[in-house]
Parts: sequence; C-alpha cells; structure tokens
Amino acid sequence: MSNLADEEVMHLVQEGDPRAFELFYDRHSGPAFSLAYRMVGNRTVAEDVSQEAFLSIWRSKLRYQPDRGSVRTWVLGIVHHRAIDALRRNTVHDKRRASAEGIEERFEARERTDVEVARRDEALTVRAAIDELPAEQSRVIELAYFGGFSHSQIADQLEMPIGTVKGRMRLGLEKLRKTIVGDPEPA
Amino acid sequence: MSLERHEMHEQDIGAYVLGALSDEEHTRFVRHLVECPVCRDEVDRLQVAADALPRSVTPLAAPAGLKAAVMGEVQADVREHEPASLGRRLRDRLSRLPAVPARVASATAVVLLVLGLAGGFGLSQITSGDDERTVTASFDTDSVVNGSGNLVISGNDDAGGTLRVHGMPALKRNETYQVWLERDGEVIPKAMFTVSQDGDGLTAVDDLQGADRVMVTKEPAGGARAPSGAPVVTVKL
Repeated sequence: MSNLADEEVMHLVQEGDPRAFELFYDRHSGPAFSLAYRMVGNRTVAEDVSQEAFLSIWRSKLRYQPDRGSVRTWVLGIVHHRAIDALRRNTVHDKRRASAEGIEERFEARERTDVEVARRDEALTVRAAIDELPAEQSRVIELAYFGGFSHSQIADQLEMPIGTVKGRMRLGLEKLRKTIVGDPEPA
Repeated sequence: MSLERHEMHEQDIGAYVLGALSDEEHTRFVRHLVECPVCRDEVDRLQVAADALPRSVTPLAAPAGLKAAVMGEVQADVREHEPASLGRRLRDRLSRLPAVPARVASATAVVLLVLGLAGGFGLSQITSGDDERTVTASFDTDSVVNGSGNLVISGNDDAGGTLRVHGMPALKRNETYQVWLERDGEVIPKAMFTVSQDGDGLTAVDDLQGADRVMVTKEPAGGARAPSGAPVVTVKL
C-alpha cells in the first residue's frame, strides 16, 4: 500500500479504510501541523487544529477532487480553514504573541530524509518568492492568509483604505503567481 | 450581469482567494462567481499563488502524540461501526445463497447470527471461509492477564488483516501499543493503536505476505523503530 499515489490512497480513505488513513496521515501530518503552528503560534492549539482537520476528513469523508489540485494542497486548505476558525473564535492571537520564542527550533523536523529535505527546499523557494514582493503587498497577504484577518481588520490595523488593502492583495498574488509559475500575465 | 457589478466584485478576488472576506461578502462573491466566467478564471489563476503560501512555512514534525490521538479516534470509529458492517456483510452473503424455502432460509440466518454473536471472528470463517481466515493470538500472561484476540486475514492480493484484542492493560497518556511484523528474521514496525477503557483494541495490519508472526509491544507515544521490550501479544502465522 505504501507505494500507492496520494490520489489512490484518498480513494481508499473515502471508502473508510483505516490503514489507508494512517498512510495518508503519515504523509501529510508534518505539513499540516507546520501550517497550523505558523498560523496559531501555539503548540496545543496547533495540535487541536490538525486533529480536527484530519478527523473531519476521516469522518465526513470529505470529497477530494483531483481537478482542484494535489492532495497536499487540499489537506492544507482544510487545515487553513480550521486554523482561521480557531483564530476567529478565541484569543489565539493573544496566545500567539505570548508563545515562547524559538519554539520552532524545538519541534523542527530533525530527520534528514529525502522528503524532509524536499520540504525544506520547497519552503525556501516559496519564501524567497514572497520576499521578492514589495513589503506592503507581502504584509497584507501574510496578515490575511496566516493571520486569519479580514481585509477590513487589516485596513484598521494598517490605517489604510479597504480598497488599498484589496488592491495590494491582488497585485501581490499576481506577482507571486508569476514568480512561482513563471508565465506571463493575461492579455 | 452588469459591468458595474462585475467591477464591484472583481476587486474582491484577492481577498476571496486569501479567505479575507467577511461571511456576508464571501456569500455575495460566490453567488457572483456562478454567473461570471471572467472572475472564475481569475480566481483559478490567483489560487495558484495562494496554494503556494502554506508551503513557505518552516517544516515541523507533527508531535508524536498527535498521531496516537488521531488514530485512536479512527480506530474507535471503526469499532463503533463494526456491528453494522458485520450485519450488512451477513445480509449480503445470505442474499447470494441459492434459493431455499423461506422457513429454512430464516432458520439458517438465525443460526449464523447466533454463531456470529457468540463467536465473533468465527462468523467470518463460517460465512466466508474462501476469502478470510482467523488466527488466534497468544498473550504474555504476566502483562495481559485476561487477554484474548484474533488476527483476521483477508484473502485479497494485499494480504492485509485486522488484529482485534481484548483485555489489554490501559495505556498511560504517553504510551501506545505498536504492531510489529516478523518476516525472515527481520522485525518491521507497523501500526500503532490504543485501547478502550475496557481494554479492547483494533488495528489494521498490512503486508502480511510471507510474514512469520505479528507481535504487539507497548511503546512510547509516537511509536518506536524497534521493539523496546518483549511482545505482549503474538500471532504465529
């Protein structure tokens, strides 16, 4: 079973196969927890968010649609939604500020497997693409995506018009897309 | 759809892709998307960038206890739904039997049901000896005083099975049971599982082809690469 592609594993998961689900968990739990932790900044809450996300996939048999992207992208989308819910329903924003510095180092994946090396390389590449954006664009994108803030909350925080926030989000995403995909803007 | 309405929604595309619209705005935007192919295309284009964002985070290892917690819930779900699936399998198999007088068929169903309820895994052998077999587990009686259990091996190509145990000692918060497979002298780590308050546990064991025995040890939460002690459960194949 370990040789199955992600899409084939998902098919078995959706049929309720616990062995397939364990394999699915093993493949995606690291990136899922990493994203949850980046968003909520608190280990316990990040574990809760990750657990909720995986169990929602198992219990509700959420449908993965291959035409909407990879299994990894799909899982991370679910984690992102759960983390935003957590951010908006309690005071995680405050907890995040109070979380211990350097905690990432303590939990950083230490195994230098090919998979871990690839994850690190990918993170560095995407991080570099984000860093290439003008600061005002990367700021609003990160506040929205990782901070779970709405455009109006960001406008309040940065003391700028909502229209400006929306415009910077769109421009930033467009530039990020170009850097990642490398294709020209639409005609 | 008017051009004005399109332009009004068009400026929300970035915020929509980043999940930064309010619930009300989100609903309005989704409604607009249904009727606007231009915005749909633009959402698809920018989604590529949004999908890359989570891949920029520092890679962390998921805490070991998280897997034990998630798989514990999954296994509890499997146990909970087992009677229903067993009944369904029984009905399916009965429905494939050759036609017999109703009174005889009814009696057969009662006998099979009683045997199934009394014998647990035995039902699989009675009703489907052609594609499953059950092997009884033995227990280290110093560690598991009143243990019982079986490994039900499916007959498909994957040669997987389901290990069920009863009467297992409770685990501490930072412990898990782990399954091991011994094949040609090599011990291979397999699934981890927890047990209910009554000591019942269930886990899938894959890749049984050529295996000599299946074993279970108690390990720290998150599991181990090699058994840290003698097995508390052994199934000789």
